Amino acid sequence: MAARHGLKYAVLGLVIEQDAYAYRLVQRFEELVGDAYRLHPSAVYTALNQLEDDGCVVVDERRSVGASRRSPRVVYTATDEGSRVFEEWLTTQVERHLEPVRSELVAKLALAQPSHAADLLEMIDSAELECLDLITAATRRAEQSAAGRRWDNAVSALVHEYGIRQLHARLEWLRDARSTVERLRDGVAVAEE
Amino acid sequence: MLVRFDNVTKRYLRGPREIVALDQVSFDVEPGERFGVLGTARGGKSTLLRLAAGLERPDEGTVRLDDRDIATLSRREHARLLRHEIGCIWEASARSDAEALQYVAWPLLSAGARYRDAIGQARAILRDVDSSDCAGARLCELAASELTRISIAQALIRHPRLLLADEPSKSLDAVERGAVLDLLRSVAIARGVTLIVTAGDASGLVAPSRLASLDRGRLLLRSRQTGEVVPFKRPQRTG
Repeated sequence: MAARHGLKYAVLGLVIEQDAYAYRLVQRFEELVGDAYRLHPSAVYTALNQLEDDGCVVVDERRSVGASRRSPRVVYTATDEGSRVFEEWLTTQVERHLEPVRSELVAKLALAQPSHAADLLEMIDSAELECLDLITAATRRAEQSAAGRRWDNAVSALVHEYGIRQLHARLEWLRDARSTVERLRDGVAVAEE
Repeated sequence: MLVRFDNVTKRYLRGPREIVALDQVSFDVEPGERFGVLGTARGGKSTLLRLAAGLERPDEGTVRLDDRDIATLSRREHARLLRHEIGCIWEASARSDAEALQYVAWPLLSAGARYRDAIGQARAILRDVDSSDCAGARLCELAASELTRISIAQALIRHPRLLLADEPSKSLDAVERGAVLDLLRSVAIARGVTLIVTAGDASGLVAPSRLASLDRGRLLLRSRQTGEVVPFKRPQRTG
């Protein structure tokens, strides 16, 4: 469902910000939000189709000459209805602030036995490295949105920090998990002797 | 290679207990690199930087700068290193009543520079870090972000090749943190300085070219050559 987590409206907001073709919207969305959203590009195409059906955006035929419906060069522009819908979304309360966390590692941990400790510890190390990679990429993106006291820059910095702090929270959990699994492993070793 | 830690272990005594601050830590940092260390509280971040500066010696292993073991340097050589090669950004004391301009000029004054020259250079560095308006203020009168900028200015005044920054954005809000980190990054790039920066929180990192995690003295990072996990020694099973 394209409207999930407000993506449809966020895409609409980007079209209102500037008429654009779909791929440019994907790029702009990543610039603005980065890892905080984990966007799949195809979701933007789905959102655009829905927005078109809803009468919120139209294809600018004049600027899309020669482009097919699937072509990335189809230029979208917002309608007056689109502007009204976007303003309404922006000023309406968020339905769900917290999304569920799904992780295969968590599922494995829940079902693991003491004999799996060594494997779990390896998985935790590997997950922590993945986190470090994502944090490195996210801090680079944050760096590109120049810091400052202007509204746009400050808001952009906050949005990037949202993604970075989520990753950091995951990192802290992984460290706790490592420490706990190591202690349990050692405790089990003592108890078994 | 500018900095190389090779199997470095550092222990402290806290009362009767021995604390392993760093546990067989190995990594290297190339010239111009921005190496980030993301660590837990009391996880060994400050110890790592103090060892990199040669302010402490490892119990095991070696710390090399330009392929020279820092532990083998004479006191005179080490002092020269700290004066000319390494800039340390530790937290400036908010309780000090020193004047910011004099605080920034202090590394030059203590090395015997002429007062007028030292103060002139301090003014120029304060301008570079956008803090000219703090020159006449006492440290105890400054806000946290201003103090951090003053610390950066003091570290830069000797034009070091290596900057060691210990949680430079700690206790700053998002906007101030962004501004300070941006300053540190741009200064490091503009001056070609190698940077090792620690942070307790990922949002306090200066867009590192490489990032390691430090947890209870153990460093986790990817191998530069293979991209795989560089394994650390797991604690031995007890019993």
